[in-house]
Amino acid sequence: MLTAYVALIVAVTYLLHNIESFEMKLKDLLLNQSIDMIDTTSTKIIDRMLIKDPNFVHSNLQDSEVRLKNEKKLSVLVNDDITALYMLFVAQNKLFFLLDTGAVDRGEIGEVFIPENEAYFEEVYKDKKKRTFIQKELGHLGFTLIKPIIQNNQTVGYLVVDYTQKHLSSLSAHIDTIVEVLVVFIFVLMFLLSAYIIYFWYSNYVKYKIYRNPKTNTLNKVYLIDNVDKIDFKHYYVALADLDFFKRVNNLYGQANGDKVIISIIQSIASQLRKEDMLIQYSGEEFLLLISKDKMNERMFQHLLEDIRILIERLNFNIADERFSLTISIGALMNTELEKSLQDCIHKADTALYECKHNGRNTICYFDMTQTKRVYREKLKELIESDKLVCYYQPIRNLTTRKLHHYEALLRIEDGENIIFPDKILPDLEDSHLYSFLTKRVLEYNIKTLRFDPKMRISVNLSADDLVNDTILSLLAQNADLSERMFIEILENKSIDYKKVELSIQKLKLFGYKICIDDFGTGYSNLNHLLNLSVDYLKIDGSIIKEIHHDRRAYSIVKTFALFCRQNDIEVIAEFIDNQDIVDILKSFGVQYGQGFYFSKAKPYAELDKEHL
Amino acid sequence: MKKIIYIFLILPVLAMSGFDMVKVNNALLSIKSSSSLKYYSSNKNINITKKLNFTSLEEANIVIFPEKNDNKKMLIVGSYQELRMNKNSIGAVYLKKGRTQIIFVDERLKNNGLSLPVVFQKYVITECQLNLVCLLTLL
Repeated sequence: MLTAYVALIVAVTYLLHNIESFEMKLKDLLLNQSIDMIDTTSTKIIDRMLIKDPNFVHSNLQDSEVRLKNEKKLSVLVNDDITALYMLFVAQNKLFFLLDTGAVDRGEIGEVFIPENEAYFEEVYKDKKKRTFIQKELGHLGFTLIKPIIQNNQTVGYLVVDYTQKHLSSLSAHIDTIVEVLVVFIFVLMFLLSAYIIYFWYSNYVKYKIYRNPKTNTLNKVYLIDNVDKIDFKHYYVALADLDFFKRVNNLYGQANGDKVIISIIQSIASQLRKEDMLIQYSGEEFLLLISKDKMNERMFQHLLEDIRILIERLNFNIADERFSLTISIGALMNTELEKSLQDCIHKADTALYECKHNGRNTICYFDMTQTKRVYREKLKELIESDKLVCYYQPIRNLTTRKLHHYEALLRIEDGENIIFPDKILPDLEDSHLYSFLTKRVLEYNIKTLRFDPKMRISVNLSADDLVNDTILSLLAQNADLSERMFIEILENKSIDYKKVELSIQKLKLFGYKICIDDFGTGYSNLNHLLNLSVDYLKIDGSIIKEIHHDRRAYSIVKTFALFCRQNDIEVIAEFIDNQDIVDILKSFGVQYGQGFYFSKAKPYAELDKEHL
Repeated sequence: MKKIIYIFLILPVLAMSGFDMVKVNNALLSIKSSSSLKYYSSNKNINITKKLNFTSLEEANIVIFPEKNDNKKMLIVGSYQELRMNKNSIGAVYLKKGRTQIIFVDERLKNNGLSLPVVFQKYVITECQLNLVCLLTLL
């Protein structure tokens, strides 16, 4: 753009500087066009004269009759625009009149003629071509046509036609108009170009502002959204870096100090990058790195990421007299040339990043191309949002009477012919908003089923995080009329902050929901909390139940749990029941309810026996 | 009769407006002579430069646009025809086709001990070039 502008300035300057020369050339062009008719006719006349008379000059000098005839012939060329039309011959480098069509101010035969500017004739003599000359020296004349008379390849004379000033003025007026229009056009063009350049610079400035995080001056996600199709992603390695537990910094030291830490980290990362690499602040503490493949092989790329990880790990921050450090997890994709879009590359780097998060953080994970079974989060989101989310139902029976107590709703995603089980997707969704979104969809699905089938009783699994999610709680509150037929199973597979969930459970119990602790006996099970929460059911983890008939430790654990629950009015459910032996043992412990393949596997609602009806 | 002819020939000169006086002055000033040249002209318009030594008719040795023929003085006449006819004329200044014509006759300059520098030779013709018959022999 700047080059074009400079080129235009140079062109305009050149044009303005040479406008006079341009004007002259334009005049020459127009003059030549205006004398076109005379030129053609005079050529014919002179050619005839020369053919008839091989000694043209001599004949005219010697014979007045010939001269008179020739002057008559030439006089047909004279019109109102012409002041004089005459013929000169050359002798000893001087010009003399040969013929003259004028009645007044006639040049006598043989009269010497001193031209105003000898150079005009010299030029015509040299080129042997007609020329027009504007008579600058002679104000009363407009311009003059000088045409060589060539006989035997020698310039023996000249036909001279003087045109009036009026004729030149008429042409000049046209020329002036053309020049004025041209100058105006150039200035308009310059103005428009200047306006465009100002607009271009301004829009670039605005883009610069929009595309950068004002606090860190780093490219942001808006830049990525606007330029996702312009970035030639196949020439970059893609890495997504996320600061581990950064929210704690903001919570402990405040947003302002958090920003200082981020700026410091960005500076550290940027110091490792080259000009051709890009650093985009993907979200608050998440960074997208586009590392150019130019002069960087995969090994060097891996070293670079490791350098960044170590650099961040070794950075020490001092805030409010406290010294701390942070770590970073990086997910990366190297085979970008195999991907269809930058978005795909980012998704895969994101998947690798989640792998890092599962592997304990402060690591670098590379997307494994063979990892095809893992469903990516974005795809999951699509599946969850679509109608492909369903629930299968597994019956929970009274172990003594074998009577159906209720069904447990188990999530399935039907992706074409494949059925995706929760264990394939839930690890990818932990710590993401999709998890609670998925819970909401599951709840909505079962609420619909319960409303459709008034005799159906269903238990639904919720995580501890779901229990403190306002959307989930609100949904349950709105459908409290179903609480008698809906059981809430709280997953025991991760550490539960009982204090946080206690309030939510109390609310749910007020709405009438029965609470069941799921997968009890593994992880962080705590009998004291169990009592504080006043749960209705306790589901012993299947990994213990299935070992009960040949593992004494499992046997005594279940026996103890069963005794504890019986003494505290908590009903017990056992899962993973595979055979009658397990049923008998459980019954001997006083366990009331059970589920497992021995009774039935989970089935879609349409395939249920409907024995509850 | 001669007077009438002279008046007729001088008439175009009287206008003077069409002349390139700078050229005329330069040409006249360039005339070299062993003695000092004194000019006279009844036409006051010709006296445009103080560098030319104008004087009275009696004292002048060059008369510009003479009203009558004076055998004793060198003349600069106002037409080509007059230049041809009057052998006392050393040169002519007149308009032709809108151009200022300044012509000196080489032989006549020399006869009067006058000459012109090389740059002004374009104004100088020979007696032969003044004569049509002679001019034919030059072709």
